[in-house]
Amino acid sequence: MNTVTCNEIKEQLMFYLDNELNENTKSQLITHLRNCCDCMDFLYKEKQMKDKICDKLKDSYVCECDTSKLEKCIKDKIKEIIKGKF
Amino acid sequence: MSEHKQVFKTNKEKEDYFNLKFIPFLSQLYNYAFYLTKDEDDSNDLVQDTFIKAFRFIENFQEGTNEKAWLFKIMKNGFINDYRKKNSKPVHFSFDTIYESGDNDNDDELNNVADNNYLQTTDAYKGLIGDEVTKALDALQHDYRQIILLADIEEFSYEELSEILEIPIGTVRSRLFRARNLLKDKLKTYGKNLGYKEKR
Repeated sequence: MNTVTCNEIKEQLMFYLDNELNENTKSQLITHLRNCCDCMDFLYKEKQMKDKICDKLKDSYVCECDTSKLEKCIKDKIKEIIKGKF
Repeated sequence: MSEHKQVFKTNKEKEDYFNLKFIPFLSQLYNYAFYLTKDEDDSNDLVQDTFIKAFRFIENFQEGTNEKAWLFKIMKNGFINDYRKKNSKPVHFSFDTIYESGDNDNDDELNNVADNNYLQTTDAYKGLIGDEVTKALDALQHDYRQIILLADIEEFSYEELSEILEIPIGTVRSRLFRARNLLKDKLKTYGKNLGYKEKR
């Protein structure tokens, strides 16, 4: 018998989308979703929301700048450390 | 608990290991540095310091641990240390402490400095980005903003977030849950259609 309520399921959906539920809870959640259009609809909206937020965040957070100079600088410093230390 | 620390026979082996395992995360580290400092030069310095610290302490890196999470943790703590130095506060942090778990009072300090950086640059960003998600994210407290970025952009697992932020995994779950709900509330407040509508 499925005793999990819709509110309990909705609280777990975020963790489901993050793939952070244990197998038992995940199984309960999937069983519930198969029989509950309301929760399935909520899941769809949560997923859509998460994807849109991620896309927007990537635009503002991820820098497309060239880090090759910085990489060279770091590698050179590492070589200096090695030379100085040994 | 068994620890498998790195043992290198030669400097070349150590350097090659470092270049193979850690350098590939440079761009992601730079993004996080810029998020923290909001300044190009400061970001470059912070990234360099992070990699140099990582190299100096590479023997302490445990095989099987996530390299990216380890670097992010070093960077977060390095940023806090720099902030303390600039503000003439005594430095209590030592590299070894990053292996300790549990709640960290560094968080409050990080909150303050990152929020200040955000306040200083918000106006400039508004003009450039100016969308609802960015505004909503800007309006969040630093620790909420940070956990969303680390989870959704950097795609760290809850366990890795727990390690980087030095908070229990239960706190990761509750903080992320709260952060996303706050973000959704703010987006609803902006009244834009982002695929999330209240039931009528």
